[in-house]
Amino acid sequence: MTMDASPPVPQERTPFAAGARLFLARALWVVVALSAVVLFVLGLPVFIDDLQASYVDELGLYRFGENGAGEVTLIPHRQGQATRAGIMERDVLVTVDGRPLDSGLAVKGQEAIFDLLTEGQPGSLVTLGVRTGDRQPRQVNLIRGGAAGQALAQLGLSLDALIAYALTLELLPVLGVLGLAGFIFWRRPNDRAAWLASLILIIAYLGGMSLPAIALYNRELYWQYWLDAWLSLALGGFLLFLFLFPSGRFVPSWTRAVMVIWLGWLAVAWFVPELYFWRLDTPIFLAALSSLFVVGVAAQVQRYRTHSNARQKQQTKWVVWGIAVASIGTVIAHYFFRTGSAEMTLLADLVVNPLTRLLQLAFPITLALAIWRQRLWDIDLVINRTLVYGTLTAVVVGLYVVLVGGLGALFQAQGNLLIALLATGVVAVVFQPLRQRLQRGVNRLMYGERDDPFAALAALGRRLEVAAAPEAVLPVIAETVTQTLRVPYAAVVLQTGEEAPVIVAEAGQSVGETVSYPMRYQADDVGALLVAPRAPGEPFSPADERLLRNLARQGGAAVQAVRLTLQLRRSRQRIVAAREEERRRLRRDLHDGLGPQLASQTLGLQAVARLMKEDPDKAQQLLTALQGQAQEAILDVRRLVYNLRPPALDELGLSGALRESVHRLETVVRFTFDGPARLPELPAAVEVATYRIAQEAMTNVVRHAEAQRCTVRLALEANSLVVEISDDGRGLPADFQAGVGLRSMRERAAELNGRCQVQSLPEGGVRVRAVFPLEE
Amino acid sequence: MSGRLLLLALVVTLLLAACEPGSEPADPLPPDQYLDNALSWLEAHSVNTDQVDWERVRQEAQAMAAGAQETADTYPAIEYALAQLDDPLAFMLRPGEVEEPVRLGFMAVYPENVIIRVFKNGPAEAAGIQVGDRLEALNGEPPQADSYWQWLVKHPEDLTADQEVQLTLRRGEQLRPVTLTPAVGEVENRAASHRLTVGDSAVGYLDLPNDSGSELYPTWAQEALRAVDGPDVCGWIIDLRRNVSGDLWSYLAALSPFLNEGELGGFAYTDGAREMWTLRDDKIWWAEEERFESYVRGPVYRLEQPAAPVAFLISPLTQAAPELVVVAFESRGNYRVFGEPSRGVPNLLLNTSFSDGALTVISGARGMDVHDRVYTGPIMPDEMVETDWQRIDRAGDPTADAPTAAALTWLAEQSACGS
Repeated sequence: MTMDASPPVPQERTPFAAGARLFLARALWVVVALSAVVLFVLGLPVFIDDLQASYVDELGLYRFGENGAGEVTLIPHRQGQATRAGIMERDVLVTVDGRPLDSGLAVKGQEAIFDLLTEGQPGSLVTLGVRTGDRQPRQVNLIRGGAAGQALAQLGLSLDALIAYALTLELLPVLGVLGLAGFIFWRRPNDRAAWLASLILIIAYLGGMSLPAIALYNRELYWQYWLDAWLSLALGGFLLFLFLFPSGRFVPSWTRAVMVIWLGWLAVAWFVPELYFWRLDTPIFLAALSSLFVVGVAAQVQRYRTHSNARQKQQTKWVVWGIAVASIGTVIAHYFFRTGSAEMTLLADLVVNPLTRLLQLAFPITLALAIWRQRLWDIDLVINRTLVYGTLTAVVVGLYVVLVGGLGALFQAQGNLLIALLATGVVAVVFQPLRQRLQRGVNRLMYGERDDPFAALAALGRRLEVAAAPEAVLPVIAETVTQTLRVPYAAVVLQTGEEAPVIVAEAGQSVGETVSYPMRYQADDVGALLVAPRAPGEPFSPADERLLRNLARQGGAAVQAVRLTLQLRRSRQRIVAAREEERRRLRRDLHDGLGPQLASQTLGLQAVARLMKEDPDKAQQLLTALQGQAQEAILDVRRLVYNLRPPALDELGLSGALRESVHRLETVVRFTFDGPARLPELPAAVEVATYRIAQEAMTNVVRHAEAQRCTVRLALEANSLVVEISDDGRGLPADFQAGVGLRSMRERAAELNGRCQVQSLPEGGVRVRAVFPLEE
Repeated sequence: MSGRLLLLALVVTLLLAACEPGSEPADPLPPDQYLDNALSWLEAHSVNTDQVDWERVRQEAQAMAAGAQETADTYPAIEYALAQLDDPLAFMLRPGEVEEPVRLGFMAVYPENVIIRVFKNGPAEAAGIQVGDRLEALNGEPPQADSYWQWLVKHPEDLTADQEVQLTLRRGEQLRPVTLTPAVGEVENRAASHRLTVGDSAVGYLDLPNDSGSELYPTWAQEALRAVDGPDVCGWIIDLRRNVSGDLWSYLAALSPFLNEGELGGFAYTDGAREMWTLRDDKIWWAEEERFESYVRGPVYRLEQPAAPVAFLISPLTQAAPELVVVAFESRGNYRVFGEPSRGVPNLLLNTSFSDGALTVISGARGMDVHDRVYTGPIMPDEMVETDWQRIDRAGDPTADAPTAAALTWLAEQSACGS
């Protein structure tokens, strides 16, 4: 029986020893988590400041000074737009948009002057009147925010909206990760793997990967000292986690060596900071970062293949997926940090950052769910969508680049808006059909033919056609289900009357729990289709459900055919067996009883013949004894004949025989008989079966029912003979199971195409009802 | 996400990517206005502006640039005006020149023609050149140059990365020909330190080389301090003799363990403006600006005896920023200067870019100490001691170098060192 789940996999937990170590671990967790939060919070204003700077402050002005006369002077960036427009070091700022500056503005400080110049939306023009020494002032036009500000203005976005957008993008994941990590820590404080995982989440997502922390890193050398250590911690912990998850032990064994190498590297880098990954040249850094991720994921893959049990496989499947996605996101993000030009600022802020952030979140989400539910709701959907949209993005970007490049080359025009519009139009037209096609392809790859019920049903039909014997049909159904739906296991269960259901066909390997879909034929439950979910506990999607129910329904007829075939065969066997049993009994009775009796009488008669002359008295005695023996033999013969067919039936008819039985049995129980005085001529077999069923039932009433009364009713109803034996006793017990007597009653009825039912009556007692159809 | 929404997002993104403006740099100014701006800037900011007849210089420069088609045609006129400033620090780099310097990896002093520094991992070190070697010939001719070479020749454009340079060096009685291939890139200017003994006490010696704002310069310098500092260190020698200008903020940050929080000195501009240098929160501030060159990786080092006496060694090569370092120590006191008068330009190297990317540097302000004294000439040593360049960096015999010996004598007399 595989209806229930297989024995649960023992949970691999790696607890901390209780007491001091546990306390230390918790304290360490709290301290590190708090540091991460502090780091993030400190970085936030720097991050906003930088963001603002790249859109509005970007006038190409570095800062402001003051000359001897108390006027505001300008310090331009060496290669900024102010320098290109002709502003030089310590030029005096005289007017802004034609208005002279307030006297004493220089005293108010940098902020006040910046505010004055940047008051206005990004992309707008500001006209400065500047003066070199004592010369005549000249006019210089600058764009607020430079190129990035201009692009922002073209999109119709305000700076506040952009900042709100960027802040949301930073805060939401961080709050989510904090909550998640805190929850894991709270729920599994004693599990080493969970402890490490939650800690790494915080270190990586509030420290290593968050833009505020990176802004802080780039702003101050002082922070770099700590952030180098912090990043080492994050990357090392990340690697450690990949090597330990989920059992808390180093698997496979080479991971230990890798960890030692990593620690060695960090130890050296602590003294030679140039060796830190992120301080290396961009290509080396990106390669090193990628290899780190690849090594970690490789360890997990090897663990998955060779070391994990079924449940761990489910856990790691998620997490490795999440980590792979997050790693790609991180590499993309760093690629952009390192190589993104100033022109790409807006694209990065609007598109790339959100995208990478989203990718990076794959890890915490899958991790949390894997750790603490050991399963994930519909991760296949996540995998599915990643595949679809990943491919889609690659195709669309490729198509777009080729179109823009190709058309540009064709028309000798670069960056032409018309070409861009044209390319966008083409991409937009092919987008939807492409997406649908990709989705179908990926679905077929992952779910088999779920999205195409007709294909699945047609496949089933094709296979059923080929299957010759009815029994061969059921394995075909199971196999079709496993193959078309990509499930690990499917089975067909047969409902054979009173007995418990039996598995008659299987495909795949049973992994534990299964979901049952009833197979029906003409409103009767004839069996069930058992299907194991793709992952333990993962429910089937509505689409899967629909298809499975359909398949079960289609299989109902086939199951019914198999069921009937089985029943017929079994019934035949029983009939043959019963006939043989009957013959053996007759032979025994004749051979062991009647035979010896007749033999001894023959001997007696020989003796009588001898004694007739010598001792007639003794012969007379012997004859008397032989007469008694002969009478006994006649009784034996009668009994034999009775067993073959009760003589009362011939003498009294069915009604009379039943009435006589009722009178004979009436002792404790008061029997009443209700039946017609005359019956039409019935088939002898029906008479015998009716008589025997009634007798068995009445005997049961006397023996078991503890009844006061019992009514035996015989009737002709709708061309059928009905016999009912109803009592007012204690009814059937709750755990009632059909014994030999009841089964033989059913079989007797079934042999004659009749039915026999036994049921408890609502008012108490039991009714046995047998119905035999009579031919015309 | 519904397909339609996705499609909308896609279209927006693609259009956005296509419409990203090219942000072409604005056209440089017309040549006549370009020249006018440049001359105005020199006139407005040079510390020597009063000694220049600007009306005449302007006329001559405009005549030189008459008919200029593009800004590059005015460069000779601007360079002519720069020459009129009589400013040893003034120079101009044309747009292409502001690039990675090409170096041979040594510094020599003229007219003594002695190698005074060999940079780590440079071509000169690889060729076995040592401090104290005498340069006899350069590409077969006797060397003729300014008072020192970092690049061997005056302008980097005279030296290209693939052009070999033939040197003839003398060490003792031996003559040695050496061929060097110039290397591209910055050299590593790490401060070096060692301990000298004075009676029962020790003196820390710190060589502060010139550097133009390397990120880790102050960190390395403080590591050098930490390496020799101890409870027994009763005084310090800070050698600025081979420091030929560079970044003042790096130097002040490097020496911040010696300095007190507060104003260190300042710049006095010709227009009367004053901008102070301040040590605050372990960082150096220029007026209200926190200088990024002054950041130290990790915590700032605290000396065992921050107020211990300091002896500066200076030479005629000590120019601009290192001269200002000595000026800054007026805010601290308890120091004494040994050697020969410095180069005599304790000025701010004020620079500006012009609209086409050319860079011009002039003396834009004079150094000023915390007592409001403005410096217009060389830093005069308290004790005149001549440096024999062939006797510096003598391992095991520090007193072979006369200024070091004089400084040690003075330190030994100080109460901190037990006297």
